[in-house]
Amino acid sequence: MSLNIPISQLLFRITTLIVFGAAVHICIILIMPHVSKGNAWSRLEDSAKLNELAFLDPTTERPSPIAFMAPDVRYAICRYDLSNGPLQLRAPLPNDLWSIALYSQHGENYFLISGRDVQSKAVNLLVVDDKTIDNEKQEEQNIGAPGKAELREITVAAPAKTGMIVIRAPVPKPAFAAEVATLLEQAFCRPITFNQQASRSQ
Amino acid sequence: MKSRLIYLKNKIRRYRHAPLLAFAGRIALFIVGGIAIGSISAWYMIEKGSALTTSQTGSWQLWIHAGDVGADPYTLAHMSRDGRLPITSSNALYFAATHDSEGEKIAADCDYALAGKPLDSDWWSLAVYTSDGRHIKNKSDRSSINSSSVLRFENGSFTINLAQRVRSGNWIEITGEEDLTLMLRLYGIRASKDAQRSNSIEQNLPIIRRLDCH
Repeated sequence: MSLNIPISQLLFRITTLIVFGAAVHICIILIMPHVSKGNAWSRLEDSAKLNELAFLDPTTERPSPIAFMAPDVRYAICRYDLSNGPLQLRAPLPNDLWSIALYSQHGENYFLISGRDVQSKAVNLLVVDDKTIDNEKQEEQNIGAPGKAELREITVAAPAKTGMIVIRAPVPKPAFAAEVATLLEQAFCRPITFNQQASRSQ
Repeated sequence: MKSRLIYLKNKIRRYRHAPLLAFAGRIALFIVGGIAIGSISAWYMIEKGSALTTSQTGSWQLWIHAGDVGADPYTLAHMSRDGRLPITSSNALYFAATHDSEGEKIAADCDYALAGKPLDSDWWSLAVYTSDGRHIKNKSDRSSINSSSVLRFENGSFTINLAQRVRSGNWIEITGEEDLTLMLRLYGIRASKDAQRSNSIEQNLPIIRRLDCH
């Protein structure tokens, strides 16, 4: 079979094909985080109700709701939706290794705090929609109350109404697994009702 | 005579449409070819990564911007497809290995020895998974070892054995016959922007040596 077309036309066709292929490539890459049914948000739909904390033990959850969960870490995950108002998350941070990470729906870790950062036994996070918070006020609240307080209050501005919070509680040795799980169960995640918001503002 | 005329008429009609059909064929070929090029290249960049998105040290691959806000689209797509939620790379690093130091796939029916040096982080954990990130079934409930539980030599180095049968010292039980993925996560990387510290972590990553296969 011989190609009976001029070289210039052949080059034009190849270039056009590559440009079209590149456009398809870019579309797939950009759309993937939004449509993938395998992403963490979709995988957690069955095991984590909205605005509630779900406690996950990677050694017993089969199949794991999130891929590559560490067997020696206990997880508590809250899928949140701020459409009806802010969210409160209270969690113990008994040592430097415990951490609380906030994610966008697509898995970007936009806020992280660990036991070493707060030096307090527990932390109370108020997660609010970015558009409803005064940024200066947020900074004041974050800077305030240093030292080894019992409870540290922090307000976090979420970049979007939906996202995920993951509390990680490492289990140093198997003998501590039950103790870590019990401590983690003290954590909770709940929407703040109108009455609670009013009392906070007084 | 009449049937002969109809035959000729149809032949001419077919001939008249031939250029159109050829053009449509070229367009279809162009669309299929473009979609194939775009899909295969996208799959490769999401699945395997590239020098722009990953770094490779021995057997260990690191997605450089895993978990970061404003991470490149390839990293976001990779994490989304895998359903992972990594901590931002300024605080934690996740190294994955699917091949041993000789470049052979890590398989559940072989035994391995991982020789590592102290890793500069607050805490680390090494765990074994199936290739799609599922926790492996394990009778002894030993599918990970972390910096709190690992037994070390005097100089801080350590050896971790991956084997189906009990091994003395640090032992992770592997079962089955499928290919495995090792994940080494390091929490508390405070100074990842410091090149020296980052290099020291990568230089001290465990070397994965295959021992016997069953």
